[in-house]
Amino acid sequence: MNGTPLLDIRALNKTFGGSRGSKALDDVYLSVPEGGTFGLVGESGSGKSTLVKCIVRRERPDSGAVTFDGRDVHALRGGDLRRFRRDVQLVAQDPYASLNPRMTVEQIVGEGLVVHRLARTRADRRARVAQTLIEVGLDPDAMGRLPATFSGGQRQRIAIARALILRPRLLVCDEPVSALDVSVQAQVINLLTSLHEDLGVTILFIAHDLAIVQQLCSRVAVLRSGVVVEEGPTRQVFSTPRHRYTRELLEAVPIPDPVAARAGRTIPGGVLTLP
Amino acid sequence: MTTEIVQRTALLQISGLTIDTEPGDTSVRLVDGVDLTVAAGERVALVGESGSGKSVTARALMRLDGSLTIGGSIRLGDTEILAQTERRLSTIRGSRIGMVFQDPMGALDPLQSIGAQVSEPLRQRGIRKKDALRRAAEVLSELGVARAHERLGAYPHEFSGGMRQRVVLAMALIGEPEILIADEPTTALDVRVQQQVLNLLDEVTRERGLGLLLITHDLGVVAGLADRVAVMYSGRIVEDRPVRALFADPLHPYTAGLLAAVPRLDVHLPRMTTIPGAPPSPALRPPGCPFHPRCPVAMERCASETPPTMATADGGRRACHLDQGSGN
Repeated sequence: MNGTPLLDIRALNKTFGGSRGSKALDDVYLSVPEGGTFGLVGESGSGKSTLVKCIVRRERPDSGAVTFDGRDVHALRGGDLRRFRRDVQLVAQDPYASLNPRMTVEQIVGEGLVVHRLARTRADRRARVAQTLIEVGLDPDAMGRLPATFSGGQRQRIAIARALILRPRLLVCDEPVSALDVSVQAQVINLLTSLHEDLGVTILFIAHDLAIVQQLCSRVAVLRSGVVVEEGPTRQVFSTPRHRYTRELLEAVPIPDPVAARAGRTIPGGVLTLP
Repeated sequence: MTTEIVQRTALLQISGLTIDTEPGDTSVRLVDGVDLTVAAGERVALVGESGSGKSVTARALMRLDGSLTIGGSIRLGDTEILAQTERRLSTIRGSRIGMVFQDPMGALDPLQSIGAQVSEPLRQRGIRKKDALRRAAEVLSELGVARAHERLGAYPHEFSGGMRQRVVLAMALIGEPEILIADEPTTALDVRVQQQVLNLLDEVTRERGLGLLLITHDLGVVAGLADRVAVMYSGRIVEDRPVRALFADPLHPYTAGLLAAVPRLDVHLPRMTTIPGAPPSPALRPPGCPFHPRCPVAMERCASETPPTMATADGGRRACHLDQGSGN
């Protein structure tokens, strides 16, 4: 049912600040199946950012292995490394900081094609940028504009287009909607759902918002202080959480319903009463 | 039941509030005629997305942005805030209005002890240091800071995010204000800390009969805390109604869209409900009803005529050309 893992994390450890420093990741095991949508939930200080950095090779683990498509990510060289850099794309949290303000949308979205020598001609590149912009719901006529002329949601679409144009196998989304307005956030989540369905891209979605993870991800792992405390199908984890910490997180999610919020509340898994 | 809300004496009364950026050719109207009241002991939420003008409204109440041109009236009891000198204002800020902002770290001085900062409003009133510190410890422990007396000498960096927000709240409450203004008080916080802060705001306002103006983009936060919700869009209030009525039967299409777009743990749909487009920047506010380009039920007149604000049967109001709903 789950297929072969595309991304496999085994016994991953990372400590910052020397041997007596703080442990950011403590024996982490995770397995993301090919074609799946996998949510990683944690509060600040949970180690989720460090884990993302270890996956995309921005940080080297002290021990353990990150395996992508059967190969140790941190041992990749030459052509394999170039291939990895195409296959794994990151969409960062802040669409304001992640786009170069001096580059046009065409340059930003098409950059990967240049770096990986995937477009033979400028016309070819332009055509593929236009096609990708359409895929993320942007008007290809906007190609010549600078990021500053777009809203936050549109910028996040540009960032997704930049990742998508390389036809990655894994999209690592690091809190991609937490800086967006509620009315726009839902659009971006729906876009990711469609891209997953239409293109089959595997999604690793890092978030603190459990309701959004439930919307998008079929599996979820809960990270606390560098330790995966619970992992499984999202519906199951959220309806019958086994770990006390998962329960606490779920109970703390505000329910946008004045009656439920005041009377005691129903979440999948039972009735809980607020103190 | 709901009509008594409007008949209670207004503690804070904002009328015809306009806020513009610096005068000149490039001047932009950020807030375009806002009326809003908070009665004594009432908890009102002002909800909006980016560009709605909610935060600039909150800051105008304290006149914190000197470069902005503020018109209309902001009355706190019998005091017109917009007519006060800077010196009188700073007294009002400490004693009659308490403020809590999004970033507790930004509100605290990293080089001053917790005790010095929490007791400061009392010291300004000439209360002796020893007494002010004792009171600071009392307020902190009322807010759930354990061993508060021993921790008066601690510095902000020694406190966790949730504890820092308690310190900020203590600073806001120690002067025994009539109203608390909280601008996105939980936005940067983890979900469990957010819950603690919301419970705390609920308790302190309830126990002290304190008026609350809660400014937020998060309807989930509002549902459990507010008595009444005003929804702001592009510089105007589009709907303002008792909390249960607004959530059960939103009368403005923007409110309805916003409620439907909130991700929920208890709702499972293949796709999230969305509002097309994005909130407009104040400089590019559409004519007529500013929501009309995104509105699923917009009519021809919505693009040209600004909808008037009409009372609803439940004691609220809304600004929309659609036929008035049931409003009960």
